[in-house]
Amino acid sequence: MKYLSRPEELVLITVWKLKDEAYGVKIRKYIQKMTGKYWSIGSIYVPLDRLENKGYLDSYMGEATAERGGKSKRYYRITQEGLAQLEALQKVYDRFWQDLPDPSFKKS
Amino acid sequence: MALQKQEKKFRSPVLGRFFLWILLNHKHPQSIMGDLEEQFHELAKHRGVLRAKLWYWLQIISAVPPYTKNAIYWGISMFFNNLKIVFRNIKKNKVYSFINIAGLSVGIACFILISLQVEDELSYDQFHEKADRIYRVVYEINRPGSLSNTAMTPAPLGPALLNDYPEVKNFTRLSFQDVFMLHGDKRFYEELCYADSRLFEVFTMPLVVGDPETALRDPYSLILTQEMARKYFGNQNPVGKTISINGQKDFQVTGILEAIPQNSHFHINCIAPFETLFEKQKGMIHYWGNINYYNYILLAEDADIKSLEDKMSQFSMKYIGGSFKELFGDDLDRVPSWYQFHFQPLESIHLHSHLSNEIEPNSDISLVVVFTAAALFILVIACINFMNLSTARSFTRAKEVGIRKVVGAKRNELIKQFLGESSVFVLISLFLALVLIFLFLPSFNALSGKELALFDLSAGAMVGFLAGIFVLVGGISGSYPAFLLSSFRPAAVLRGGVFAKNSTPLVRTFLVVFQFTISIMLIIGTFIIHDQMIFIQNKKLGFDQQNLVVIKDPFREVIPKYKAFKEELLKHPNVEAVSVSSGVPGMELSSTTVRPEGSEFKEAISMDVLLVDYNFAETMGIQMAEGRNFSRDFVSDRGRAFIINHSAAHTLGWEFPVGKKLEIVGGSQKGEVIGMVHDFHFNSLHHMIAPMMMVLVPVRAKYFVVKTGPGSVTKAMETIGQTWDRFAQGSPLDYSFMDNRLDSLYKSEHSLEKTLIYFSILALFIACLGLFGLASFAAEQRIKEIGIRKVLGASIPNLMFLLFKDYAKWVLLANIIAWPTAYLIMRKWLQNFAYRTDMELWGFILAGTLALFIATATMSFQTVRAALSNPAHNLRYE
Repeated sequence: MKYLSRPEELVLITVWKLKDEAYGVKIRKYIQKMTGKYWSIGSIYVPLDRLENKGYLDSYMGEATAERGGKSKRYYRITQEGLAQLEALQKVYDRFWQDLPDPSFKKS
Repeated sequence: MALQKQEKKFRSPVLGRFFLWILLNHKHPQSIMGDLEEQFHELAKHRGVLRAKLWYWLQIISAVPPYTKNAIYWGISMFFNNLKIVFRNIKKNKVYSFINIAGLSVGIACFILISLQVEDELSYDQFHEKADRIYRVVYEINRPGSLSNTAMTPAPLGPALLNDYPEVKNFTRLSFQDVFMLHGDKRFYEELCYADSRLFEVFTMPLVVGDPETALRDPYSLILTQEMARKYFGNQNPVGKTISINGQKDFQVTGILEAIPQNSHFHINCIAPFETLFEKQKGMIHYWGNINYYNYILLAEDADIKSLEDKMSQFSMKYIGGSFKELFGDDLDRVPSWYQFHFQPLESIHLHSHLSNEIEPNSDISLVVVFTAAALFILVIACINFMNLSTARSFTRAKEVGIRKVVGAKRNELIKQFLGESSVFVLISLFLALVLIFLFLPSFNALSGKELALFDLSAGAMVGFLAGIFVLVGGISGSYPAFLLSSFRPAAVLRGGVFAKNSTPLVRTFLVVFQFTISIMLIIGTFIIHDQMIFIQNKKLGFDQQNLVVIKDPFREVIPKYKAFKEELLKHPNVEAVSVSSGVPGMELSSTTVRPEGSEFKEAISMDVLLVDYNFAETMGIQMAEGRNFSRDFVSDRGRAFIINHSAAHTLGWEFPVGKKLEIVGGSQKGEVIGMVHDFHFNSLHHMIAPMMMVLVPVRAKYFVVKTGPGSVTKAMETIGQTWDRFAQGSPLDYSFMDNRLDSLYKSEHSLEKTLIYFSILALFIACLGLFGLASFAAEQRIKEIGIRKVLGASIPNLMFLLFKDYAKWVLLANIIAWPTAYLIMRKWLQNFAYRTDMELWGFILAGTLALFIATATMSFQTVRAALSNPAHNLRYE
């Protein structure tokens, strides 16, 4: 099994977190808020596309509003597999983080 | 409403959206654009539209580098791959590639050549810096009994216009005169131009040496072109030296003129001051009755020529009416409508002016239109032939398309590939076309009398022009094959059964028929013109044109002493006869009105008059039909006896003209007809033989006619030259041979014949290309049919005939169309000649056979190959 990349992972968690509100703008804002860094549109959509191709995400068309220039939103939803993937990844992290020695740096 | 406006304000920039739309490479572009729109809207609402816009553009710009990086990287690698495929294809199908490229390059070369010619025609007189403000004044005389539109105007016109109208900023006058120039042993006839020194202020005619303000200030100064200066002075400095004009007056060289470009409606080699023309009669420069000069004006920058012309309604009244009050008498108030001056824009003279007394013969705009149409036509035909040949090859490429599609090529990528492929062909052809032009431009120039050069255009214009051709030709010829090829469905193609359509496309057939029709017409035309030229050469002219030398004596220097001159010449064993006359064959004679003595005025007819010596008819070999020639035995023969020609007698209705009396209308001259000559062709065969009479007035002659023996002409010419120099007062010997003179009457026909030969070859070549495409298309299509026929026992000649008869019928159809059309056109052309050959059927048959033969040769390449091909190979089922 192949692991997700870090951006993919973050995007996937975000979609999970945002539930029914998970579309482009919201996802980007949330990730920017959480990471405190600038994320370009491409850096959101590329992971989204990949995740969708891998089957960890579903997408469906939402409503169009005037603010969007009449263009409809595309909402994303996490799938069963996506959830399983995240959980598996989390388990790996947990395993790695167990029994790590105390990092003591000498003051130089 | 207000709300909507508000909403509109928060829309993202249209241009930005457009860029985004190009850059976005996503399966759901709408949702991404929607996202951006939403964020823009939010930003605009809370932080201002400007900031939102900035943000929006930043988003786009930040997306560009990765996008372009990708596009360039893959673009380049695909480009090289496609290029490789193109060259592989060219190598694989050498014949096809050769024919394709050859056809296209010939087409492009023709197009460029004709374009250069058209460009040249349109560029006339534009090299003058003030060209858009220079006008030539022309004269419309509309008096009862005298109607003319002439480019010539009176000398005082220019100064009067300058004086009367503030719109006229400047003027200059030109007058041309044939003179002979003498310096040391160099003697030549030249055309001298008399011009105001304002010439240099109006026109752009730079002087290499000398000051334009003073060069024409003193009387009898002279400006030469560099070429002329070299002719007379070699490598010496010409300034300050003198040239004798007409052996009468020395003119001093004061300046050297840069040669006038070929695309000018007049060409000047030497200029003298305008006032010098009137040195002998100073008052004539103010005389309104002498219409011999060209007036040009320079309009003020803000003036309008139309309003100037409107203001001039009383102009001719003031000057012409004023000068000739007594002459007009009661009709004085009609002068403004009788005499009118008009203005011609300088740049329009070459293509639009067809007045009498033009300085040089002008061209015509319709010629430019025809040329442009022909150029485009040739290019389009070449493109369509290219298209035909490429689509005919599509079958061999079908599998490649199938595989590419299976591997994942999208349709637009395939279109790009094939367009690129034809672009390579077009590029190669373009290059070859330039080489062709380089090779053929000299002979083209010789034919058209122009000085075209490929690099006349500025580099930018040239590149733009070539790029334009590239895009146009590539677009037209590449698009159809590209769309056709890319439309193949991979499954069908790879299975191997897609070409069920068994019909030759109608458009293609039409084209081939059309091209052959044109070719056959051109060939017929060439034959008939050639026939007519031979007819002209063999036509009995009524006099002996061989061994006749014509000497022109324009200033009558030798004519007064013609008897002595004649005797001197006759001493030479090779000179058989010498005579003088006022005209020689190949020129127009002056005519006069005559009537039978005592008859009504309405019976008067117009007759050409030839003033001759006693032995003119003998010398020329003109046969007497009746009566006698002029004789010294009759004193009354001097001026009071006429010899008329057959046509004159016929027009007058006289069966036996000898002894009848004629009088010249308006003069007191009367005389008796003493003889009649058989008709002879004085003018070219375009004209009917006009009524003519010969009168014995040798002192008013202008030409010597010398009959030399059949032997050495050079020896005789030497004697003639030496004798001439002893008698003449310095003017050079201006001689011509009669047969050359007559030949030059048909110069335009000769060059038409030559042009037609070139065009026939070209048209036939292009038509064959079309046919080749058609034949290969059909051969490819019927390859299985041929295979089966072969297996069943068809012989090779049998198969060849099967394929052959398909196209032969189109060429025959072309014949059926071409013959009557060519007949009608050529009949019209032959009507230019009063004396013409009959159109004979063999010319038509020969042209048709020739076309059919060449067509067969073209097709045989395909038919033989198809017929010889191995059926097992063709019928193999993969």
